[in-house]
Amino acid sequence: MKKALVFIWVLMFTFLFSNVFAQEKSLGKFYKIQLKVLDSLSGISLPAATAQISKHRHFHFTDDNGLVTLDSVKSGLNLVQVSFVGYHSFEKVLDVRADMILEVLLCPTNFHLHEYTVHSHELTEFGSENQSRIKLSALQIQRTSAMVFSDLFKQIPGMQTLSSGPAISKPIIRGLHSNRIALFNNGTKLESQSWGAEHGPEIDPFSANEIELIKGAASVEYGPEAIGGVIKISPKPYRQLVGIDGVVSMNAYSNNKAFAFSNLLNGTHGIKRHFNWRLQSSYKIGGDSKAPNYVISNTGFKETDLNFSSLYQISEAFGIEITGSYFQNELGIMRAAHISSTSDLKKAISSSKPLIEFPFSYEINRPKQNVTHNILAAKLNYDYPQLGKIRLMYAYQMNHRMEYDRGVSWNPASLTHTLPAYDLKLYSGNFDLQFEHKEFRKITGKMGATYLTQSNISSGTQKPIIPNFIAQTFGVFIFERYKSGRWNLEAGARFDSRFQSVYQRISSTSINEIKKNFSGLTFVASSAFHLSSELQIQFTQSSAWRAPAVNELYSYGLHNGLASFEIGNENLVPEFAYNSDLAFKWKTDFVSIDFNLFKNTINNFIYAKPDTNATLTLRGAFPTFRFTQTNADLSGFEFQVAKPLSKRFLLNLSYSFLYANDVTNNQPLIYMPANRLKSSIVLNQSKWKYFTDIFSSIDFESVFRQNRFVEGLDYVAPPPAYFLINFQTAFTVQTKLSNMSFVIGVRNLMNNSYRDYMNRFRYFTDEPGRNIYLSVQFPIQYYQTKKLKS
Amino acid sequence: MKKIFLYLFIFSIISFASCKKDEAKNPEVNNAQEQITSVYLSIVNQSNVNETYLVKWKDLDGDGGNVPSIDTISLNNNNEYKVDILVLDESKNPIDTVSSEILEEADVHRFFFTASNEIKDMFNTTYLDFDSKNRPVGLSFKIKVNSSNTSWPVFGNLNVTLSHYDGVEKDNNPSSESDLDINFPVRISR
Repeated sequence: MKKALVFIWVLMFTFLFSNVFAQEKSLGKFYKIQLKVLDSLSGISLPAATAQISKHRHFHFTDDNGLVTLDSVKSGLNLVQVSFVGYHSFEKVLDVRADMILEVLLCPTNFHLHEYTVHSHELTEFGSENQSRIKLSALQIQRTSAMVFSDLFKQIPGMQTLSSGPAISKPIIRGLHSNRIALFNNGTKLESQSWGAEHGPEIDPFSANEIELIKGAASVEYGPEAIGGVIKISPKPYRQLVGIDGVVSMNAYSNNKAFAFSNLLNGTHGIKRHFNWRLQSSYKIGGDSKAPNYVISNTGFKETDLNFSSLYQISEAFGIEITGSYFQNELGIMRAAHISSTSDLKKAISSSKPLIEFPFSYEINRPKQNVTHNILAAKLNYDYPQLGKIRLMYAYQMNHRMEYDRGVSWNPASLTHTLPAYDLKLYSGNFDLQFEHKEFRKITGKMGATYLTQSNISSGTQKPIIPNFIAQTFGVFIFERYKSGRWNLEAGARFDSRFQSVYQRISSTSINEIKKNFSGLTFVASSAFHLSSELQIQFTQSSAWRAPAVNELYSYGLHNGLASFEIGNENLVPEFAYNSDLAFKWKTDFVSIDFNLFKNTINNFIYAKPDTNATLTLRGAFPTFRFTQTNADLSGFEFQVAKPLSKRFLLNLSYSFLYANDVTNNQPLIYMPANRLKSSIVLNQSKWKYFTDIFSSIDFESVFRQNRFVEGLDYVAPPPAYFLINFQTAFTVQTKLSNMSFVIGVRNLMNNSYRDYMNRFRYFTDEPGRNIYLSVQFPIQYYQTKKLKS
Repeated sequence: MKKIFLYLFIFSIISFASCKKDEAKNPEVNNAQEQITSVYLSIVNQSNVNETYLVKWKDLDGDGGNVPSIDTISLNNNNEYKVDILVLDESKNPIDTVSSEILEEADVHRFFFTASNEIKDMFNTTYLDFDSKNRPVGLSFKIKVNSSNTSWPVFGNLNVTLSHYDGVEKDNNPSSESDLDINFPVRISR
């Protein structure tokens, strides 16, 4: 059924385009291409290099900074040529549809490596430049070889993961996670049951080409929930040239004997009509993870992903893009962590190893999760030459989460053995209208309106953990930037309002309806000052809010994984975050330093507070938590130094520090990540024998003990500090057929036994032991209209 | 022409989303939930079969909500009692007799009875029923009270745990998965 649905989507959009294709009219239009010409090895800009568009028959020369502007470039395909004495000349056919900025890296003639990067205006969306952000490039993502989405972030200062055993994890930004982080997949905000600690984001890490992380409150641009930060996942840009190409990648992991197969196809058709498409799919399978001394039973997983995008430029100004994704997984939940009684929990905690252990297997038994997430989005872009760009987007999402518990032991024929305990369906429709205006007196900016409608349907054999609800959120925002000389000033404001109706069944004949409305006004103001080309200082003051989530308002029941009884609070009010962020960047040839200082003050911070009265059940007395609000303060810093040791070696050092306090009660906030120190020695070499693009890195990671916790609130005190060594190497082998890229790495090289405070299953098991992984990636070329000389 | 398809496409998605609203407004009636709401102990004094009574541990509305109602087991020194356990799901109509299902699954279930320290030395339990491999079950058992104590009454607790053995062989030790874990107050008189 679900597969049929995917097929229908594909059919629908091909149908749509086969009709759209018929009417096509091209208007002659001119664009600017700005080039920056650099030496590919040293990165030094090359003055007086010649640049030309083959149609133009005249040359341009780069200035002292290696810059040159080619104006009056006709839309469509253009051959750009750049040459300089002593360097290989550069030639590339560009499909020009907007003003472009290109960085051209010329290689000295005694070298063979050719690189170029293209930044097309069409692909970059206007957004804040000042707020603390980190970008993960395609290369970094490939080298991480992450099987689970959140593992991509483990290396970034200020980021951690919240996990529930080896296969389930979600990202934490500066101590905040779940519905305090907004995740965007290819422009669509992921709408899922993100409130649950054991609900990992429904995103395939192999679909990501670039990931952008924004640390700190960012509601103005990204809407409610962006209290801790934003993660934006972008797929690979469309091909610039006519033709089809692709990438196939295969990954294998030793610890859980996991395999992942992923491929990507990219096509561009029509010289004047520009039809671009991209199809990406992944399949992953993994068995039980192994801690150094035992198997962590029932932690296998299976995942199938499919992503597609297609862009059709109907005219110079008007484009339509349709994207979709299908995500489906099945995840085993560690068997020994499924606790039903308090005495079982005490027994499990006092045992040095999990009480239930089976031999390694790929089999996924109950307890388990089964999640499907589908997205279908349509974007219309219209470019008014004098005014700016208008973008209208509609995204439809369906999240279906099924959580299976063990079922009742006394009745093998019971429905609790076949049906999920919790069956949650969340349907979301999101309209997004945005207008990006052209520069006006050094001011650029955007404004927009959003509308989100959601329906949640909750069923299953257990009492629903969250009730059915219908919610509608309206939002309007404006964001402007003033750029002059050394200053970059940004400011914005936003208003959102959420209308929520909850439906609870009281009896077979009556339903209780509760209506609520939450609103929030947020702002952002920031400035960046370039003291010199090497030194930059940024300061951002921003705010964010979120309405209390339905589980915080209405949940009532036992969490098997946490062995706690959670009680929602209907009277919760929205939480508001006020974030100050000071960033300092110093980049020279001999050292580069990044320092970020932050203070995130959250008023009415919602958390589960332990109740003095336990809940007595037929399976013992469970500790009880009631959702309540306090004022919280999360402050800290991230410090990063990169120091080249020689031409090839680089030393990296980073430290992240977080101090999270419950201001009202003057005590530490619980479950906050510990501070960590990471250092790595990196080798970069462009060529050695048959290998090119050689990269090697050995990482030393120290995670300290979280000493800030409230005594007696948790069953077990935070685990001790631990130390890990990771190693990885990546290189490319050039064969006649193709360039094959390899990544070989080891995580937890010394096979240490350790537990992490941010793993909810730390009561029951150690973290996985040594994991050796291998990743092979090679490009495939189907056809291309013009062969480029290299 | 082509725009019509686009509108049609968007419209179809919107109408699809809105029909889900009606489903959301009408939460389903939950019938599949199976649980234990009550445990009854039928206690018969072996030296005086007329002395029979029922003790309950009952939580009709499931976990949380109203506090469970719990009775006290009253015993006399130097007496022997036969106890039968009745486990019910009284939230169902008709009431589901879980204990008869436990009996059918006796090979993977066993009750354990643990007396608290105050009464441990004067309190003795013996299993009266056994599974297909002759291992104890505990739906039926005997309590023997015997003490030379002089100050009465004595108060204590009896913990009744139902262990489920899944993937592990049933033996004399409680498993790590309990279906029941309840305490009855106990009063022992002279």
